[in-house]
Amino acid sequence: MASEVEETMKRIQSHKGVVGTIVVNSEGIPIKTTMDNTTTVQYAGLISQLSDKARSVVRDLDPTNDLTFLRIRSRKHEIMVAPDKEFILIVIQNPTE
Amino acid sequence: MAKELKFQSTVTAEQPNSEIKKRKRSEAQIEEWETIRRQSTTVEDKDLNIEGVMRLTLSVEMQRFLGCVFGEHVSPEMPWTNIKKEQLQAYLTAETEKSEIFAVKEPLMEFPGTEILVGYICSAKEPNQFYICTTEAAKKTVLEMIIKDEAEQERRVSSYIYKVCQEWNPLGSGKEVEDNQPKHARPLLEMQTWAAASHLNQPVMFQDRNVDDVQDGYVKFDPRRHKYVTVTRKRTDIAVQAVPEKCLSVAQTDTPLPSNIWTQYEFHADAQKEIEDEELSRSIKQFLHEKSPQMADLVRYNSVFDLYKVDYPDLVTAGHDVQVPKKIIYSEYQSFMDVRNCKGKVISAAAWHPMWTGVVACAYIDHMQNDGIENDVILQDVFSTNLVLIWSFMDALNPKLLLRSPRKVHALQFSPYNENLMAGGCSSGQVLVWDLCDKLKVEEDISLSDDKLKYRHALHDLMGWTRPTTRNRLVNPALISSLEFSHSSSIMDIKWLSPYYEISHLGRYQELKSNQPTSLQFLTCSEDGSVFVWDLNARGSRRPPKMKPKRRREYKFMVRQRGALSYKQMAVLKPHYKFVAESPSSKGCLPLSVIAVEAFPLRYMLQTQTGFRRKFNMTERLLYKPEFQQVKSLPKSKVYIGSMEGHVIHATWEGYEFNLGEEMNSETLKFKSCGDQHDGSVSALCLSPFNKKLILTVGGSVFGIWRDGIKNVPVLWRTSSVMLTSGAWSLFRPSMFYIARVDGAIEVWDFLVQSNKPVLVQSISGSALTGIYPSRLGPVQNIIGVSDITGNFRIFFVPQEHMKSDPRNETVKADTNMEMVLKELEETVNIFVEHYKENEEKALMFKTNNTFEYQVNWKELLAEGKNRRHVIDVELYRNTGRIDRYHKAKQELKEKLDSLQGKKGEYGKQGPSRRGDLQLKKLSHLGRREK
Repeated sequence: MASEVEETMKRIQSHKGVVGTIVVNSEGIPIKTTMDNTTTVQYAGLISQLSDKARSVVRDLDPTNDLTFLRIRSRKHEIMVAPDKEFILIVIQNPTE
Repeated sequence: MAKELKFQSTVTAEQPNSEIKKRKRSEAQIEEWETIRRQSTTVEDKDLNIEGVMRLTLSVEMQRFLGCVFGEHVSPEMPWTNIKKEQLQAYLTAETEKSEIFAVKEPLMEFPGTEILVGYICSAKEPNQFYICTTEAAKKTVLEMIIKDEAEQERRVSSYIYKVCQEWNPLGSGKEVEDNQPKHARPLLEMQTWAAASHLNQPVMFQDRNVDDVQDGYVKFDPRRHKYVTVTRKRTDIAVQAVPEKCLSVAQTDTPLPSNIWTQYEFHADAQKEIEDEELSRSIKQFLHEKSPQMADLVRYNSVFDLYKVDYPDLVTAGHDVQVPKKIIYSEYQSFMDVRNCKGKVISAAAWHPMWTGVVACAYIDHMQNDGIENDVILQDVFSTNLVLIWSFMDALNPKLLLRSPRKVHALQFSPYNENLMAGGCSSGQVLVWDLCDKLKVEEDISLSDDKLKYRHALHDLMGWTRPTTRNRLVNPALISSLEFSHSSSIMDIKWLSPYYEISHLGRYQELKSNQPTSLQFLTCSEDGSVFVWDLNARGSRRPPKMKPKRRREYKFMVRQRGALSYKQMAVLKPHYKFVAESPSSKGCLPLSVIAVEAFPLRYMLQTQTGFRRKFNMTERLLYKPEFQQVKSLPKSKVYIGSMEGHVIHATWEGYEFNLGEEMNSETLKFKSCGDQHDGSVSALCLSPFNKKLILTVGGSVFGIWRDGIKNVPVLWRTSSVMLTSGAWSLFRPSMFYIARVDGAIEVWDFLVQSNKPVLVQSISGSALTGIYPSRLGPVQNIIGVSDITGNFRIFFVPQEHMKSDPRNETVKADTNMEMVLKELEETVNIFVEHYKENEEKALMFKTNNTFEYQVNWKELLAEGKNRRHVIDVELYRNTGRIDRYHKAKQELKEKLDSLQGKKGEYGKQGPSRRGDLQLKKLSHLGRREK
């Protein structure tokens, strides 16, 4: 079971420029990660907050709408967030590599 | 008794080492002793119970005889004494037997010793009682007893003495004593010495022992008794390593004051727990199953394309590309045209003064199609005015000087090192020399304001009877070569020779004579195929002809009063040496049009003090002074000539070792290199001022750049659609040159920027240009003079961009850049020539634009063009490790190159084929873009 999850994460991780992949639950606690603990906790806490905020923004604008994907482009990285009811998948990529 | 004892003890204390010896006592003392003896009744009379000791009474006389008187020889303390045996024997023999002693006569007589021990008995009741030892044994026993008694007595006395303990009073000796006492500074060392005793019991093997072999091989015995001192070994030297005691101490410093500290908070991360919950694990799986494909797609896309990349900065690769190109034009400054004198005339030659800025000499000839006397050369020569005008920036309308000439002047050249001399060549073949001494300086003073000028003019009008002396502008030639010794045809070009050396009568370069500061020689070339060397310093061998008009001589005299030439120089101008150029194709003379010699080092120093002025004044004349330099080696005997048939020739000569006896030695030039790429008369042949090896030629519709060392072919040549009339190198940029065209335009080429077309084409005049003359004014502004067929001499400013040595990167030396380009070109030419070795004539006949393009492209391909597309493919495959494809691509490239080369061959033989041409153009385009 768990190995199948890890396989999926590894597949994403194997792409060019991918720095890390994290699965966070709805409380912002990381469940699966390919990064070190400190970074993971940092990303998980902050991104889940942002994701919640973004979702509430989308819903406030239109109650029938929902957030499906969130991309944050920074100078160094691109953080891609796929939120769900229970979990959030976070992928950090360095596209300029 | 106690009293006696006490007394005795005091006596013995006084004399501790008592011996048995005779002492004299006072009578009183004896008496005292007697009384004591008598009174001591308690004293026991006891005999000595020793065998051989006899008791007897000796009378006083006997005592005296024997020497044992009481009180004299013996005393109670020392009762025993020795008497002589002979005396006793004598007494015994002499005396009768009355005495008691006779009882012991026999043993005494037999006594072996010489002395007999006799003792007084103090304790006896009767006086004079004596003991006598009759035997040796008795004597010995008695002596022992005596010693014993004495010791006993002494002991008793000493025990009786009362001693008071007193404090020790040290007087300083204690220290010395203490110092002398050896003391232990350290615990005594225990030494154990042992010898191997194992050999003691072993069987002995005797052998020879050399004395010298061992240390104690022999022992010396002195003849006399010698006491050997045995020194006990008491001290042993022993080394002790002193090691400081190991000490360990620790100190802890406590900062008394609080310091700034930082703290880093850290996210608390629990160790990742395994997902145990079955439900949770399943939901994660579900979640990932949904989201991962989308995420994977995005990630893949991101890794391939950077959607948000800012491309704008990448569009600009070089800063200067962004700048809007500034249009460079040559703006006109002035034009010189004498409407009165030079109407309908053509400027045949012009020359800037090398040392005075803003002074230019122009020679005017009649236009060919001049109506009236057209085509009649004799009429033209006779009736037309042949003017040479000297213009100055100060007056654009009137020439400063009017130089006279007997015939049309085709060549003009100022002396580069003598500011007053100008040489000119006539159509008759004659050489003229004008002396401008003081002529130009006069007008220099005229720097008056308008008001002053007006006033002056008014004054001149009023003074009608005067002739203006300062306005005497007409100058006759100072020297004219006689027709007899001149070229047989028109002189086409004049070049001054190096001032450091001269060409001798024998045609060889030689050093100057010591009395000559500089040589004054120049070359002329003529249509008749000859090149003359003229020497103004040479002394005329002939006297001046007598039939010369008097007036002329007067004039000459007048000139030489203050002229640049001395009287001797004025005598007769005749050539010094003659070269003949023969046509390479046909027998006969090669009509020459231009000539050039190697430049000599000469610098000009600014003489005029410019000071710090805000504005550069063009009209102000700057005076330069030639600065002669030390030249070490003689110049090579070589000359570059251009012919009217389009030959560009690099020729040499050798000269003669001996005078041939002729009036003027002549020699045929040897052609080292002869190119005939020009399709018309060579009108310009200029040596680059920066690169000695570089020559620019213009002739017909072709101009070429030649390099010394490359034979017969220019390294670069271009054909124009219009005829070219002249050309000149830029004085500021090594790769730049100007070409004058017949349609009135000038082309500015810079083959570092682009070599396929000029960087600038500017139409300057509506009529054909005849010459182009760059001039160096100063650091701020510079000009270029262009003469045209209408007799107009126009002056243009050189744009600032064309005065810099390199437009892009000024720090990089343009000279080296150009050298590189030239090297490449040279290689190209070499390849080109090599390739068409078998068909050289044909190859050289390609005088089209395509020829050069073709050369360059072919060369690029040959060099396996590192930036060519095919090569890129090859490189790509090699880098990506696809060996099979790499080899294939390499093979393809090779084939392609081979086929292209093959096409080149065909192209060279059969002329340009449409397809090959297109392909070449395409490739060249590609190459240029990739560059």
